[in-house]
Amino acid sequence: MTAQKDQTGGIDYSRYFDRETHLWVKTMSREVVRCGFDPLGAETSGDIVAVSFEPPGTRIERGAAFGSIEAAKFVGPLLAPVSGSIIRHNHEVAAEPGLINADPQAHWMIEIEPDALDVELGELLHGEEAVREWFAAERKKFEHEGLLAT
Amino acid sequence: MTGLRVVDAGETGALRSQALWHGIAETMTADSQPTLSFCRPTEPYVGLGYHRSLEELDAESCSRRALAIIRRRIGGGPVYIDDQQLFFQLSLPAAIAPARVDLLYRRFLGPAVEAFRTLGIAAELRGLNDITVEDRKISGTGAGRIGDGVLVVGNVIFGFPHHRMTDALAFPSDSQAAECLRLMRRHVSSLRDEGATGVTFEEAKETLTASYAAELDLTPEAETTTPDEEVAIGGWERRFSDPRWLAGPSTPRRTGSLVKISGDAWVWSTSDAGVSLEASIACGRIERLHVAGRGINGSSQRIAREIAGHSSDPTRVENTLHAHGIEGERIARLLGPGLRLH
Repeated sequence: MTAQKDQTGGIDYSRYFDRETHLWVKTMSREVVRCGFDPLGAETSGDIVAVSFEPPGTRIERGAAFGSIEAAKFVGPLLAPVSGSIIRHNHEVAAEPGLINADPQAHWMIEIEPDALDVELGELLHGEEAVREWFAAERKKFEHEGLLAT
Repeated sequence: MTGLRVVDAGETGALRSQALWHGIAETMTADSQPTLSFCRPTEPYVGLGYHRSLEELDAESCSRRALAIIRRRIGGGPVYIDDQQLFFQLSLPAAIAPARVDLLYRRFLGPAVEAFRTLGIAAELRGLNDITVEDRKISGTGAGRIGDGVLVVGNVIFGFPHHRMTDALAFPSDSQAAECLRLMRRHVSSLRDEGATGVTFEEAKETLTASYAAELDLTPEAETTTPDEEVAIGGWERRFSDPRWLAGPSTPRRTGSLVKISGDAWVWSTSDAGVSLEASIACGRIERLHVAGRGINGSSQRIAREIAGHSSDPTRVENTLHAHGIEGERIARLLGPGLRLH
């Protein structure tokens, strides 16, 4: 599948987006999905200095923590956008978390073997028009709240 | 919502001084009242940030001094904690907390800064989250999300035994430990060091409460912990006592050792291929740079002397070092990560 990217924000519209957590999901196959931060999620997180993940084999429900993230002495959970078993982490990102800030769409965090892919993908946002509209609205909202540079 | 819940746990043991606010945050729901909690540990211990390595601590020294080590669920580095520190924590539902960390700190450390000023300390918020008097840190801070609760925590340092803090830390050499102690004495202050010797713990609590109540436009309501919170607090006490929790999450081993004293003061040590480098950086300047080891000659030491005392701006330092050929590049490789970690 060829990635379709927005010229300004670098959004890859072929991915699925969790509106609550600003994480993207990319289907690598029926058995494997990858997750990472979308650009707004990365930007509002601040300068990420550490990420940690639950070990491979851990089963997680959608909305449960698959790991933790630290920026400016703030530690928060990373919440799974889909249920399943953790297959592996991206060691490159764990070693150099700032890569997420630098290019969040190029740097996935974990791979999951999904439990209920068809059902849960339906709960995520997908499709160029819908994603474009949502992303523009979120950017506007974040700017209004002072969460982004205007 | 009209009330700011104030839970004053008073003097506590080490475990409870951490478990208290972890438990309060964990039981927060979207409808919970913001809660300001206080505690003061009666026994000294060492707190460690969630992602930090136990190797940053001198385990033998901590054991010899009967210092427990407790890994918290929020960020930052190792800290020495004792009864001369009053801890305050604001817990609030995640839904009403700013989603960006710098805004969270600005809004909810602002009242702490105001409280320090009311107590006669010319405090300011420096960088993202340092509460300082000029370049001296007067409060340790941190933040995190636990369950549906977001926390901003800090302390009022009445007195600080800098040497006990450095004794608890692991250093590659005595000289680096001494350098850390020197910088810590200069950049970590206390009410006592600032001359505010008359301030009492009660006065500090009252002032912080008034300041946070004003910021949130809520009326303070003194309360105790709920049964649900006590269950959660007990769970955190057990977790903190579990060696698996203490070991921390699996994170890649970092090369080099960095001890951060404040947002703009730290010491850095590293070695590679038989060459070791120690540096201390404060207020945008490399204060000390020492290079030693195999193949280090007068040229390397001359370069180190040239760099020390000047700007720690990574690009400027690397440009200077690269002008010195192979010797300079070797120093740049060792020093660079210690300049860029911040």
